[in-house]
Amino acid sequence: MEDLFLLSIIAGVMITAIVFLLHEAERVKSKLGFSLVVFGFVMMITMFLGASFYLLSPSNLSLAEAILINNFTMIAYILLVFPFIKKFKVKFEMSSISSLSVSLLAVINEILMSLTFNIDCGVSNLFYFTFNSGWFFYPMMAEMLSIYLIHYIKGEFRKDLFPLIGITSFPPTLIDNAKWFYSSLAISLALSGLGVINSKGFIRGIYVALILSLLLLFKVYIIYDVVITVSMITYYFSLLSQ
Amino acid sequence: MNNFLLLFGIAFSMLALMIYVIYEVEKWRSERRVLTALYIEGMMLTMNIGAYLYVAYHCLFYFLVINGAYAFLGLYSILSIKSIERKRGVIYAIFSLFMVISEFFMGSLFVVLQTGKPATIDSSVENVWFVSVMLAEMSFTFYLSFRKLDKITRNYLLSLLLLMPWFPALFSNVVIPFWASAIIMIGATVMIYETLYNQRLRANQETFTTMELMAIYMLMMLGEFLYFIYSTLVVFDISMMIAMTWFIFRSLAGPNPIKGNYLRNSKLAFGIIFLTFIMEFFMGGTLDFVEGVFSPGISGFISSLMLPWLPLNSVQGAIWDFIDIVGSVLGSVWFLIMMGIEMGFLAFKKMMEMHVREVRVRMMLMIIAYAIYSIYIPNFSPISSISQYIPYLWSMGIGTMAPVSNSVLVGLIGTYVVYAILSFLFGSRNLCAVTCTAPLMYQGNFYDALKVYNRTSRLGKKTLTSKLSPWYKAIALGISIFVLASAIVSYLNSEGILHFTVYGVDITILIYFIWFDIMWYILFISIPFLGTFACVTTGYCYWGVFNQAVSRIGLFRLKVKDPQQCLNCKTVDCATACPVGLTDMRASFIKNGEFRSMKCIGIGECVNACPYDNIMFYDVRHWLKEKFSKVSS
Repeated sequence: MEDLFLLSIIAGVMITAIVFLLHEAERVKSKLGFSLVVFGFVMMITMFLGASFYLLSPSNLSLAEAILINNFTMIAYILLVFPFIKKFKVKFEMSSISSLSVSLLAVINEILMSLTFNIDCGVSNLFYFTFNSGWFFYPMMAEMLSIYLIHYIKGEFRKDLFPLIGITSFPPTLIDNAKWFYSSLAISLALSGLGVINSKGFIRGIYVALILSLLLLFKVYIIYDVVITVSMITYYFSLLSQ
Repeated sequence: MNNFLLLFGIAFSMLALMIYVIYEVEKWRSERRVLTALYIEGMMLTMNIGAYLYVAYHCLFYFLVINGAYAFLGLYSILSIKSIERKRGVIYAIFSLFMVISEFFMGSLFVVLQTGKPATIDSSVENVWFVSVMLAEMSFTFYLSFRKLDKITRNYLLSLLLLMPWFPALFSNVVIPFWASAIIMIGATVMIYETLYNQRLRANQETFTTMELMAIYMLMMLGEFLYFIYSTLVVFDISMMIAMTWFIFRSLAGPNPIKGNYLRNSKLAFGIIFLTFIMEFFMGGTLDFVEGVFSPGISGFISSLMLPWLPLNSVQGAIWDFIDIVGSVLGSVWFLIMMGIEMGFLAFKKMMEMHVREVRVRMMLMIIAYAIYSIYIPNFSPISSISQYIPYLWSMGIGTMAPVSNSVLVGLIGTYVVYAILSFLFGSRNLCAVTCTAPLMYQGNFYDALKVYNRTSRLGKKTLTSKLSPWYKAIALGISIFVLASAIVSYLNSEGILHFTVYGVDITILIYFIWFDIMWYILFISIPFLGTFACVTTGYCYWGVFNQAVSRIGLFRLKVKDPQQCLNCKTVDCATACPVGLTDMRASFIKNGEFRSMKCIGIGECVNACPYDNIMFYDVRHWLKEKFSKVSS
């Protein structure tokens, strides 16, 4: 129980950091600022990677490797940015590529956080749980919700993205429980249907894909995992690039 | 230690988030920010409920459903709301309610984390985590709202805040928290009455906010009282949660926008007095339990009552037992002490307003008499066990201490003789304005202001003037004869000549019990319908009637130095000031140069109110002075 709470606290801190970085990504006005946002995401990724290495085979060597990975990122950033700092002090506007990069980095962070925590929890099927456990879905939902609320306070209301928050709240693959599976499946399908009605273009396609992947869950889960991951990237991308 | 750090971490993070949402709601920088704060608060609430259900019952399904549903539906709700600017009150109410429910389930969660067992209402609230987080949130809300609140609301909220830390389960025994809350509540009540009194000349006062606060105090005291009877703090816990909700709500929303004038609206005045009185009833009872006057538990309480307990299987039995419970608490020593402190302070404030020295001295004697004559001597002094044998100590005449019997005749008759002499020489004020407990209660500044109802209430108006109406004479004479007859029956009963008791209770004891432990308080809380000093104006008090009758034929009267001054007087402040409602005194002053009435009990408000210092007391001192001056001249 204590481990669970400790991991929850760590997850909470990480979610806060990711939300902060996503929020900053929308506000940065210089290249240096954007590079710091990217650096923040990369640092977190390497931190999770290092932690995963260590947790898979805890030893002094793996600990040293974990530290080394983190140090490498820092040194690389310093060497890449600091000698050319004047070049980074130029005006910057978010492009589609930069929005996509940030969205990808955020989702990779999510995946790695889930991986790390699942290793710590000692789950058997690591790949499955990385994409289908609470450590993946709920931090993701919290981040999506936080970003959504930040936009809401600013007066922006994306009706088309709104059902995605509900869908991440009710992932049928979360626990091995029939009651949960069928109720969350029904809710997810209903929300996806709502998404189809309220959206258009690529986002509508995501909702259609979600419906299909949800229906395929009786046979295969991996399509659902892929679609939900893509939907996350789409969600962040849509908000960052608007 | 690890467990403690874990719980501390959860509590601290919850508190930090709560402080953020309180800040957002209080500052109200935009509607969307407020709605977001409300949403986050709701999320904490559902998280606590879900986490509790999960940890206590290992029910992951409900945890996931509750949180998932709220995340989506809660968000949908706030997105659907168009404007809340005109619904601030509703938002504040929801916010306050969510906060308390959230705290409650946090308490439940902590209990199950610590003990591994499902929590109860009691254990969820009566723990250090709930109390400390609650206090921090209340203090922060109060701090944020402080500047925008008016002084009265601040004082009301502060008094409630001071009452909040005294959860019995946090202390090694209940004496400290119960005494602390009683003392604070007495102080708060005095403050509230002072506030209402100071506002009396305004068109409206904070009457509804006051009644809300009083209702909370009443619930708190009911909870403490029931704790001793049923050994559960559930009602107390609920009262504390209501108190917290009200505190947060009023801190954010300010005082109740509905106002009223307690001097014009008798129902409002009654509401305030009634709620206060019920609160005092339970406080008195609680203190009796704390001090061992009453024994805890249902059977202990029943055995502590003054009258024998009758089976509840008949209406008669139920009424008897109800009277027994009410009268036993109202007649108990700690109820009287508590009332004495509260009313004594208000009377002291009133005394400080008086500029006539004799009136001030009388009021000071009244306060001292309450403490020494009514409380100390019969209950705590070395002579308390033998006080029924001592003349003058039967403070309310027949029935005060014991059945009438040969052994107490000296004390009883001696009391009547001493009082008769004093009433003859100084007027009935020796009883009705000094040693009786009634004037202390009537003469507090707030209650004194209610004398307006002597002149405006339907029944009060019928008791005005010094005239003894036929119904007054019937009541006074009827009751006096009845009590006298009862005293004879009691005597014969004690001598074994007659065998008459009411369910084993001596008739005079029962009369005293009903007259002064029940009926007097009914009259007291009925001030808005009967006016003040109804004990005098209705003739119901047999002990008062005796002294007033002696006074009428005695030396006491009110005199004026110059009757012409009264003729020219435009204000007639004397008649307005009289708390008994003797509005015809001016005519008597003009006609006779003095005023004598059986109903005049020498309170002296008229003497104090006269703008020309024209009225004076006349008693044996002046009579002697006159005699000596005649002899010497």
